[in-house]
Amino acid sequence: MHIVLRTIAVCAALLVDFGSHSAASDWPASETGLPNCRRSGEDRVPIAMWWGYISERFDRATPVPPPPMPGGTITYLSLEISQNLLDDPDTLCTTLGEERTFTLKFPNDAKRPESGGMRIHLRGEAGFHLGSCTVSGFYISAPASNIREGWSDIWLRDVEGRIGFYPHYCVVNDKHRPKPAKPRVLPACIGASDIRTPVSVWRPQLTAGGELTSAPPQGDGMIVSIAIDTKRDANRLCAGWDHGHFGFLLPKGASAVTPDGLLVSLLGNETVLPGKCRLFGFYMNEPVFDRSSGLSRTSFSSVNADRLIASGQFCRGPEIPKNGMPAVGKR
Amino acid sequence: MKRIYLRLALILAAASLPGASLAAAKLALPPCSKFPSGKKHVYPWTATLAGGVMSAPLPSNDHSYYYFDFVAAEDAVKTYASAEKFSVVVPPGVAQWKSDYQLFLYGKAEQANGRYYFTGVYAGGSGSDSAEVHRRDTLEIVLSGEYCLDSSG
Repeated sequence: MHIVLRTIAVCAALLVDFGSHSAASDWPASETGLPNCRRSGEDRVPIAMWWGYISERFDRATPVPPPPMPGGTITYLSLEISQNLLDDPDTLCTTLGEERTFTLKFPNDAKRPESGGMRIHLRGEAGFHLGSCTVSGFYISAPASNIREGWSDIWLRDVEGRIGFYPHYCVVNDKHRPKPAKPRVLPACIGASDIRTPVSVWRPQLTAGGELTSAPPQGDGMIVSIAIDTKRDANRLCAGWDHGHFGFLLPKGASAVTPDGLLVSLLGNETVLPGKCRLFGFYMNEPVFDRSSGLSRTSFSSVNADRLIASGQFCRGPEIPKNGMPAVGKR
Repeated sequence: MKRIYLRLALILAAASLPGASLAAAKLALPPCSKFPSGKKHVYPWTATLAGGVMSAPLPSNDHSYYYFDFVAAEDAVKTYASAEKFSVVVPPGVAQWKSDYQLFLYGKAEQANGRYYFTGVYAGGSGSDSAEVHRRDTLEIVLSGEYCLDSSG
Protein backbone atom coordinates (compact mmCIF):
# COMPACT_ATOMS: atom_id res chain seq x y z
CA MET A 1 0.00 0.00 0.00
CA HIS A 2 2.81 2.34 0.94
CA ILE A 3 4.56 1.57 -2.32
CA VAL A 4 1.47 2.40 -4.39
CA LEU A 5 0.93 5.67 -2.54
CA ARG A 6 4.59 6.52 -2.86
CA THR A 7 4.64 5.74 -6.59
CA ILE A 8 1.60 7.96 -7.09
CA ALA A 9 3.26 10.71 -5.08
CA VAL A 10 6.49 10.41 -7.09
CA CYS A 11 4.62 10.50 -10.42
CA ALA A 12 2.56 13.47 -9.29
CA ALA A 13 5.66 15.29 -8.17
CA LEU A 14 7.42 14.57 -11.47
CA LEU A 15 4.43 15.76 -13.51
CA VAL A 16 4.21 18.93 -11.53
CA ASP A 17 7.93 19.37 -12.02
CA PHE A 18 7.42 20.01 -15.75
CA GLY A 19 5.51 23.18 -14.93
CA SER A 20 6.93 24.30 -11.65
CA HIS A 21 10.17 23.49 -9.95
CA SER A 22 8.98 24.86 -6.61
CA ALA A 23 6.02 22.47 -6.52
CA ALA A 24 8.27 19.46 -7.02
CA SER A 25 10.44 20.63 -4.17
CA ASP A 26 7.41 20.05 -1.90
CA TRP A 27 7.90 16.31 -2.34
CA PRO A 28 7.99 14.29 -0.12
CA ALA A 29 6.13 16.78 2.09
CA SER A 30 3.02 16.24 -0.01
CA GLU A 31 3.34 12.49 0.56
CA THR A 32 2.72 12.93 4.28
CA GLY A 33 -0.81 14.23 3.85
CA LEU A 34 -0.09 16.87 6.49
CA PRO A 35 -0.29 20.62 5.97
CA ASN A 36 2.97 22.54 5.86
CA CYS A 37 3.95 24.29 9.07
CA ARG A 38 3.85 28.07 9.08
CA ARG A 39 7.26 29.70 9.28
CA SER A 40 6.27 31.56 12.41
CA GLY A 41 3.38 31.62 14.81
CA GLU A 42 2.99 27.84 14.60
CA ASP A 43 1.15 26.09 17.44
CA ARG A 44 0.94 22.64 15.88
CA VAL A 45 3.48 19.89 16.47
CA PRO A 46 6.12 20.03 13.72
CA ILE A 47 6.89 16.70 12.04
CA ALA A 48 10.29 16.47 10.33
CA MET A 49 10.99 14.35 7.27
CA TRP A 50 13.87 12.00 6.54
CA TRP A 51 14.22 10.69 3.02
CA GLY A 52 16.71 9.35 0.50
CA TYR A 53 18.69 6.22 -0.30
CA ILE A 54 20.78 4.48 2.33
CA SER A 55 23.37 1.88 1.50
CA GLU A 56 26.24 0.38 3.45
CA ARG A 57 28.51 2.83 1.67
CA PHE A 58 28.40 6.14 3.51
CA ASP A 59 28.94 9.05 1.12
CA ARG A 60 27.78 12.56 0.31
CA ALA A 61 24.53 11.30 -1.19
CA THR A 62 23.55 9.60 2.05
CA PRO A 63 20.78 11.54 3.77
CA VAL A 64 21.77 13.15 7.04
CA PRO A 65 20.25 11.16 9.92
CA PRO A 66 17.81 12.85 12.28
CA PRO A 67 19.37 14.31 15.42
CA PRO A 68 18.97 12.57 18.81
CA MET A 69 15.41 13.10 19.88
CA PRO A 70 13.25 12.68 22.96
CA GLY A 71 10.87 9.75 23.10
CA GLY A 72 7.60 10.16 21.25
CA THR A 73 9.06 12.38 18.53
CA ILE A 74 7.39 11.67 15.20
CA THR A 75 9.36 11.71 11.94
CA TYR A 76 8.11 10.99 8.44
CA LEU A 77 10.35 8.50 6.61
CA SER A 78 10.55 7.93 2.90
CA LEU A 79 13.62 5.73 2.50
CA GLU A 80 15.09 3.20 0.15
CA ILE A 81 17.45 0.96 2.09
CA SER A 82 19.94 -1.61 0.88
CA GLN A 83 18.95 -5.16 1.76
CA ASN A 84 22.43 -5.57 3.24
CA LEU A 85 21.32 -3.41 6.16
CA LEU A 86 18.59 -5.80 7.30
CA ASP A 87 19.14 -7.16 10.81
CA ASP A 88 18.16 -10.61 9.62
CA PRO A 89 19.86 -11.15 6.24
CA ASP A 90 17.97 -14.42 5.76
CA THR A 91 14.61 -12.63 5.55
CA LEU A 92 14.77 -10.23 2.62
CA CYS A 93 12.19 -7.57 1.82
CA THR A 94 9.26 -8.48 -0.42
CA THR A 95 6.54 -6.58 -2.23
CA LEU A 96 4.03 -7.87 0.32
CA GLY A 97 5.03 -5.23 2.84
CA GLU A 98 6.13 -7.17 5.92
CA GLU A 99 7.74 -6.05 9.15
CA ARG A 100 11.52 -5.84 9.02
CA THR A 101 14.22 -4.42 11.24
CA PHE A 102 17.29 -2.48 10.11
CA THR A 103 20.36 -1.04 11.76
CA LEU A 104 21.57 2.04 9.89
CA LYS A 105 25.01 3.35 10.83
CA PHE A 106 26.18 6.88 10.17
CA PRO A 107 29.81 7.17 11.31
CA ASN A 108 31.08 10.58 12.33
CA ASP A 109 34.19 9.90 10.29
CA ALA A 110 33.64 7.68 7.24
CA LYS A 111 37.36 6.83 7.19
CA ARG A 112 37.26 5.68 10.81
CA PRO A 113 33.85 4.04 11.27
CA GLU A 114 35.01 2.46 14.52
CA SER A 115 35.08 5.91 16.11
CA GLY A 116 31.30 5.95 16.46
CA GLY A 117 28.51 8.13 15.20
CA MET A 118 24.75 7.79 14.85
CA ARG A 119 23.00 4.42 14.78
CA ILE A 120 19.32 4.14 13.85
CA HIS A 121 17.41 1.00 14.81
CA LEU A 122 14.42 0.96 12.51
CA ARG A 123 11.46 -1.40 12.70
CA GLY A 124 8.43 -1.20 10.47
CA GLU A 125 6.62 -2.38 7.41
CA ALA A 126 9.07 -2.64 4.52
CA GLY A 127 8.34 -3.10 0.85
CA PHE A 128 10.60 -3.95 -2.08
CA HIS A 129 11.37 -1.82 -5.12
CA LEU A 130 14.19 -2.05 -7.69
CA GLY A 131 16.40 -4.21 -5.49
CA SER A 132 16.01 -2.19 -2.30
CA CYS A 133 13.78 -2.23 0.74
CA THR A 134 11.37 0.68 0.91
CA VAL A 135 10.16 2.22 4.13
CA SER A 136 7.71 5.08 4.26
CA GLY A 137 5.30 6.51 6.76
CA PHE A 138 5.25 8.05 10.20
CA TYR A 139 7.72 6.72 12.76
CA ILE A 140 8.04 7.42 16.47
CA SER A 141 11.25 7.47 18.45
CA ALA A 142 11.29 5.16 21.44
CA PRO A 143 12.10 6.84 24.75
CA ALA A 144 15.32 4.90 25.21
CA SER A 145 17.67 6.77 22.94
CA ASN A 146 21.16 6.16 24.18
CA ILE A 147 24.86 6.54 23.59
CA ARG A 148 27.18 3.56 23.91
CA GLU A 149 30.85 3.38 23.00
CA GLY A 150 30.67 6.46 20.84
CA TRP A 151 27.44 5.48 19.07
CA SER A 152 24.26 7.48 19.61
CA ASP A 153 21.37 5.07 19.25
CA ILE A 154 17.88 6.03 18.14
CA TRP A 155 15.02 3.57 17.98
CA LEU A 156 12.32 4.29 15.41
CA ARG A 157 9.05 2.34 15.20
CA ASP A 158 6.22 2.79 12.74
CA VAL A 159 3.10 4.30 14.23
CA GLU A 160 0.81 1.62 12.71
CA GLY A 161 -2.01 4.14 12.42
CA ARG A 162 -2.20 4.62 16.17
CA ILE A 163 -1.95 8.37 16.09
CA GLY A 164 -4.74 10.74 15.19
CA PHE A 165 -2.82 13.51 13.45
CA TYR A 166 -5.24 16.21 12.47
CA PRO A 167 -5.29 18.99 13.65
CA HIS A 168 -2.26 18.85 15.92
CA TYR A 169 0.50 18.22 13.40
CA CYS A 170 2.16 19.88 10.46
CA VAL A 171 5.12 18.92 8.31
CA VAL A 172 8.32 20.90 8.46
CA ASN A 173 11.38 21.32 6.33
CA ASP A 174 14.48 21.30 8.50
CA LYS A 175 15.71 24.43 6.75
CA HIS A 176 12.66 26.33 7.93
CA ARG A 177 12.09 25.23 11.48
CA PRO A 178 8.97 27.12 12.60
CA LYS A 179 9.00 29.35 15.62
CA PRO A 180 6.19 28.59 18.05
CA ALA A 181 3.55 31.28 18.43
CA LYS A 182 4.05 31.27 22.18
CA PRO A 183 5.92 29.08 24.68
CA ARG A 184 4.15 25.77 25.04
CA VAL A 185 3.05 25.33 28.63
CA LEU A 186 1.41 22.39 30.32
CA PRO A 187 -1.83 23.72 31.82
CA ALA A 188 -2.24 23.59 35.58
CA CYS A 189 -4.60 20.97 37.00
CA ILE A 190 -7.98 22.29 38.10
CA GLY A 191 -8.71 20.64 41.42
CA ALA A 192 -10.21 17.21 42.02
CA SER A 193 -12.67 17.47 39.12
CA ASP A 194 -9.84 17.49 36.56
CA ILE A 195 -9.92 14.20 34.63
CA ARG A 196 -6.46 14.78 33.15
CA THR A 197 -3.44 13.03 34.59
CA PRO A 198 -1.38 15.28 36.88
CA VAL A 199 2.29 15.32 35.98
CA SER A 200 4.42 14.77 39.05
CA VAL A 201 7.12 17.34 39.65
CA TRP A 202 10.54 16.30 40.93
CA ARG A 203 13.21 18.93 41.54
CA PRO A 204 15.82 17.22 43.66
CA GLN A 205 18.66 19.12 45.26
CA LEU A 206 22.11 17.61 44.85
CA THR A 207 24.59 17.43 47.71
CA ALA A 208 28.10 18.85 47.34
CA GLY A 209 29.13 15.34 46.36
CA GLY A 210 26.52 15.27 43.59
CA GLU A 211 24.17 12.86 45.33
CA LEU A 212 20.39 13.07 45.42
CA THR A 213 18.53 14.14 48.53
CA SER A 214 15.06 12.92 47.59
CA ALA A 215 13.57 9.95 45.77
CA PRO A 216 11.82 10.41 42.44
CA PRO A 217 8.20 9.44 41.91
CA GLN A 218 8.13 6.05 40.21
CA GLY A 219 5.72 4.02 38.10
CA ASP A 220 6.08 2.32 34.72
CA GLY A 221 5.03 4.94 32.15
CA MET A 222 4.68 7.73 34.70
CA ILE A 223 5.33 11.17 33.23
CA VAL A 224 7.44 13.30 35.54
CA SER A 225 8.56 16.89 35.16
CA ILE A 226 12.19 17.06 36.28
CA ALA A 227 14.64 19.88 36.85
CA ILE A 228 18.17 19.18 38.06
CA ASP A 229 21.18 21.46 37.94
CA THR A 230 24.55 19.75 38.16
CA LYS A 231 28.06 21.17 38.31
CA ARG A 232 30.71 20.99 35.64
CA ASP A 233 34.02 19.56 36.79
CA ALA A 234 37.56 20.75 36.11
CA ASN A 235 37.48 19.03 32.72
CA ARG A 236 34.26 20.93 31.94
CA LEU A 237 32.31 17.67 31.98
CA CYS A 238 28.87 17.56 33.57
CA ALA A 239 28.87 15.84 36.96
CA GLY A 240 26.88 12.64 36.75
CA TRP A 241 27.45 12.19 33.00
CA ASP A 242 28.34 8.62 32.15
CA HIS A 243 28.23 6.88 28.76
CA GLY A 244 25.42 8.91 27.26
CA HIS A 245 23.17 9.36 30.23
CA PHE A 246 23.18 11.00 33.64
CA GLY A 247 23.34 8.84 36.74
CA PHE A 248 22.71 10.09 40.27
CA LEU A 249 22.82 8.12 43.46
CA LEU A 250 20.30 8.40 46.24
CA PRO A 251 22.40 6.98 49.07
CA LYS A 252 21.22 4.39 51.52
CA GLY A 253 19.13 5.93 54.28
CA ALA A 254 18.58 9.26 52.48
CA SER A 255 14.94 8.55 51.76
CA ALA A 256 12.30 6.55 53.57
CA VAL A 257 10.76 5.67 50.19
CA THR A 258 13.84 3.75 49.05
CA PRO A 259 15.79 3.09 52.27
CA ASP A 260 18.35 0.84 50.53
CA GLY A 261 19.37 3.56 48.11
CA LEU A 262 18.59 4.06 44.45
CA LEU A 263 20.53 4.71 41.27
CA VAL A 264 18.57 7.09 39.06
CA SER A 265 19.47 7.40 35.39
CA LEU A 266 18.19 10.19 33.16
CA LEU A 267 18.41 10.33 29.40
CA GLY A 268 17.96 13.44 27.28
CA ASN A 269 16.66 16.98 27.91
CA GLU A 270 20.12 18.16 28.95
CA THR A 271 21.59 21.59 28.30
CA VAL A 272 25.21 22.53 28.90
CA LEU A 273 25.45 26.03 30.35
CA PRO A 274 28.62 28.04 31.13
CA GLY A 275 28.96 27.00 34.75
CA LYS A 276 26.61 24.06 35.02
CA CYS A 277 24.54 21.49 33.22
CA ARG A 278 20.78 21.43 33.39
CA LEU A 279 18.39 18.53 33.02
CA PHE A 280 15.00 20.04 32.48
CA GLY A 281 11.78 18.83 30.92
CA PHE A 282 9.39 15.93 30.78
CA TYR A 283 10.53 12.37 31.28
CA MET A 284 8.88 8.96 31.37
CA ASN A 285 9.82 6.57 34.12
CA GLU A 286 10.50 2.89 33.41
CA PRO A 287 11.64 0.19 35.80
CA VAL A 288 15.15 -1.21 35.67
CA PHE A 289 15.67 -4.68 37.09
CA ASP A 290 19.43 -4.96 36.83
CA ARG A 291 20.88 -5.18 40.34
CA SER A 292 24.43 -5.98 39.32
CA SER A 293 25.62 -2.83 41.07
CA GLY A 294 23.94 -4.00 44.27
CA LEU A 295 21.52 -1.10 44.10
CA SER A 296 17.94 -0.69 42.98
CA ARG A 297 17.71 1.31 39.80
CA THR A 298 15.17 3.30 37.86
CA SER A 299 15.29 5.10 34.55
CA PHE A 300 13.86 8.32 33.16
CA SER A 301 13.86 9.01 29.42
CA SER A 302 13.02 12.34 27.87
CA VAL A 303 9.61 12.81 26.29
CA ASN A 304 8.69 15.10 23.42
CA ALA A 305 7.08 18.05 25.22
CA ASP A 306 5.14 19.24 22.16
CA ARG A 307 3.32 15.95 21.85
CA LEU A 308 2.78 15.61 25.58
CA ILE A 309 1.10 19.02 25.77
CA ALA A 310 -0.79 18.58 22.48
CA SER A 311 -2.24 15.27 23.72
CA GLY A 312 -4.45 17.18 26.17
CA GLN A 313 -4.18 14.23 28.56
CA PHE A 314 -1.96 15.86 31.17
CA CYS A 315 -1.96 18.81 33.52
CA ARG A 316 0.67 20.29 35.77
CA GLY A 317 0.51 19.15 39.37
CA PRO A 318 1.52 21.30 42.34
CA GLU A 319 5.03 22.65 42.10
CA ILE A 320 7.59 22.26 44.84
CA PRO A 321 9.43 25.59 45.04
CA LYS A 322 13.19 25.43 44.84
CA ASN A 323 15.60 28.29 44.87
CA GLY A 324 16.71 29.55 41.52
CA MET A 325 15.16 26.82 39.42
CA PRO A 326 13.01 27.47 36.38
CA ALA A 327 9.25 27.01 36.51
CA VAL A 328 8.56 23.41 35.59
CA GLY A 329 6.29 22.86 32.62
CA LYS A 330 7.23 26.13 30.93
CA ARG A 331 9.48 26.01 27.95
CA MET B 1 -1.71 -33.63 48.75
CA LYS B 2 -1.04 -32.97 45.07
CA ARG B 3 -2.22 -29.41 45.54
CA ILE B 4 0.26 -28.92 48.40
CA TYR B 5 3.15 -30.11 46.21
CA LEU B 6 2.07 -27.78 43.42
CA ARG B 7 1.89 -24.88 45.86
CA LEU B 8 5.34 -25.78 47.22
CA ALA B 9 6.73 -25.92 43.68
CA LEU B 10 5.34 -22.45 42.94
CA ILE B 11 6.83 -21.05 46.15
CA LEU B 12 10.24 -22.56 45.31
CA ALA B 13 10.07 -21.21 41.78
CA ALA B 14 9.32 -17.75 43.07
CA ALA B 15 12.10 -18.05 45.63
CA SER B 16 14.61 -18.88 42.89
CA LEU B 17 13.80 -15.52 41.30
CA PRO B 18 14.27 -13.19 44.23
CA GLY B 19 14.53 -10.05 42.13
CA ALA B 20 11.16 -10.74 40.60
CA SER B 21 9.15 -10.04 43.69
CA LEU B 22 11.36 -7.22 44.95
CA ALA B 23 11.25 -5.20 41.76
CA ALA B 24 7.60 -5.69 40.83
CA ALA B 25 6.61 -3.22 38.16
CA LYS B 26 3.57 -0.99 38.50
CA LEU B 27 1.91 0.62 35.55
CA ALA B 28 1.11 4.30 35.95
CA LEU B 29 -2.21 4.37 34.14
CA PRO B 30 -5.38 5.90 35.59
CA PRO B 31 -7.67 3.30 37.18
CA CYS B 32 -10.70 2.28 35.14
CA SER B 33 -14.02 3.73 36.15
CA LYS B 34 -16.79 1.38 37.27
CA PHE B 35 -18.94 2.96 34.61
CA PRO B 36 -18.40 2.60 30.85
CA SER B 37 -15.93 5.25 29.71
CA GLY B 38 -14.98 4.02 26.26
CA LYS B 39 -11.43 3.42 27.43
CA LYS B 40 -9.52 0.21 26.72
CA HIS B 41 -9.03 -1.83 29.87
CA VAL B 42 -5.55 -3.14 30.68
CA TYR B 43 -5.44 -6.08 33.10
CA PRO B 44 -2.36 -6.84 35.19
CA TRP B 45 -0.73 -10.24 34.81
CA THR B 46 2.13 -11.32 37.06
CA ALA B 47 4.03 -14.57 36.68
CA THR B 48 7.44 -16.17 37.03
CA LEU B 49 8.89 -19.09 35.10
CA ALA B 50 11.78 -21.01 36.60
CA GLY B 51 12.77 -24.63 36.99
CA GLY B 52 10.06 -25.64 34.56
CA VAL B 53 7.39 -24.20 36.83
CA MET B 54 5.06 -21.38 35.89
CA SER B 55 3.61 -19.50 38.84
CA ALA B 56 0.37 -18.43 37.18
CA PRO B 57 -1.79 -19.45 34.25
CA LEU B 58 -1.30 -17.56 31.03
CA PRO B 59 -3.69 -14.67 30.47
CA SER B 60 -6.86 -15.74 28.75
CA ASN B 61 -8.34 -14.48 25.51
CA ASP B 62 -11.08 -12.78 27.51
CA HIS B 63 -9.27 -9.45 27.43
CA SER B 64 -7.34 -7.65 24.71
CA TYR B 65 -4.65 -5.89 26.75
CA TYR B 66 -2.56 -7.16 29.63
CA TYR B 67 0.12 -5.48 31.65
CA PHE B 68 2.82 -8.12 31.87
CA ASP B 69 5.06 -8.38 34.90
CA PHE B 70 6.61 -11.62 33.75
CA VAL B 71 10.04 -12.84 34.85
CA ALA B 72 11.59 -15.93 33.31
CA ALA B 73 14.86 -17.67 34.08
CA GLU B 74 17.41 -16.99 31.35
CA ASP B 75 17.70 -20.67 30.42
CA ALA B 76 13.95 -20.88 29.91
CA VAL B 77 13.91 -18.20 27.23
CA LYS B 78 14.66 -18.86 23.59
CA THR B 79 16.01 -15.88 21.63
CA TYR B 80 15.96 -15.26 17.89
CA ALA B 81 17.90 -13.36 15.24
CA SER B 82 15.54 -10.46 15.78
CA ALA B 83 16.56 -8.84 19.05
CA GLU B 84 12.93 -8.35 20.00
CA LYS B 85 11.55 -11.86 19.60
CA PHE B 86 11.50 -14.36 22.44
CA SER B 87 9.68 -17.54 23.31
CA VAL B 88 9.20 -19.68 26.38
CA VAL B 89 7.78 -23.13 26.80
CA VAL B 90 5.02 -23.09 29.35
CA PRO B 91 4.85 -26.44 31.08
CA PRO B 92 1.58 -28.33 31.39
CA GLY B 93 -0.23 -28.56 34.67
CA VAL B 94 -0.73 -24.93 35.60
CA ALA B 95 -3.75 -24.40 33.43
CA GLN B 96 -6.04 -26.29 31.13
CA TRP B 97 -3.55 -27.51 28.56
CA LYS B 98 -2.14 -31.00 28.77
CA SER B 99 1.08 -30.66 26.80
CA ASP B 100 3.83 -28.05 26.56
CA TYR B 101 2.60 -24.72 25.30
CA GLN B 102 4.76 -22.11 23.60
CA LEU B 103 4.48 -18.40 24.32
CA PHE B 104 6.04 -16.00 21.82
CA LEU B 105 6.80 -12.52 23.07
CA TYR B 106 7.61 -9.66 20.72
CA GLY B 107 9.11 -6.39 21.86
CA LYS B 108 11.89 -5.27 24.13
CA ALA B 109 12.79 -7.15 27.29
CA GLU B 110 15.43 -6.58 29.93
CA GLN B 111 18.02 -9.29 30.45
CA ALA B 112 19.54 -9.00 33.92
CA ASN B 113 20.28 -11.02 37.03
CA GLY B 114 20.15 -14.28 35.08
CA ARG B 115 16.58 -13.56 33.99
CA TYR B 116 14.50 -11.97 31.33
CA TYR B 117 12.02 -9.33 32.44
CA PHE B 118 9.00 -8.87 30.19
CA THR B 119 7.29 -5.74 31.40
CA GLY B 120 4.72 -3.61 29.63
CA VAL B 121 1.35 -3.68 27.93
CA TYR B 122 1.02 -6.68 25.65
CA ALA B 123 -1.73 -7.60 23.23
CA GLY B 124 -2.17 -10.79 21.28
CA GLY B 125 -4.00 -14.03 21.17
CA SER B 126 -3.64 -17.70 21.94
CA GLY B 127 -4.24 -20.84 19.92
CA SER B 128 -4.37 -24.49 20.86
CA ASP B 129 -0.62 -25.01 21.10
CA SER B 130 0.89 -21.53 21.23
CA ALA B 131 0.20 -17.90 22.05
CA GLU B 132 1.71 -14.76 20.57
CA VAL B 133 1.85 -11.40 22.33
CA HIS B 134 3.26 -8.08 21.13
CA ARG B 135 4.49 -5.37 23.42
CA ARG B 136 2.93 -1.95 22.91
CA ASP B 137 5.02 1.16 23.29
CA THR B 138 4.44 2.42 26.82
CA LEU B 139 4.77 6.08 25.92
CA GLU B 140 2.19 5.80 23.15
CA ILE B 141 -0.18 4.02 25.54
CA VAL B 142 0.25 6.83 28.04
CA LEU B 143 0.01 9.72 25.55
CA SER B 144 -3.07 8.34 23.82
CA GLY B 145 -5.24 8.63 26.92
CA GLU B 146 -7.23 5.67 25.59
CA TYR B 147 -6.25 3.13 28.22
CA CYS B 148 -7.00 2.55 31.89
CA LEU B 149 -5.77 -0.01 34.38
CA ASP B 150 -8.36 -2.55 35.50
CA SER B 151 -7.23 -4.32 38.66
CA SER B 152 -10.65 -5.79 39.35
CA GLY B 153 -9.50 -9.22 38.17
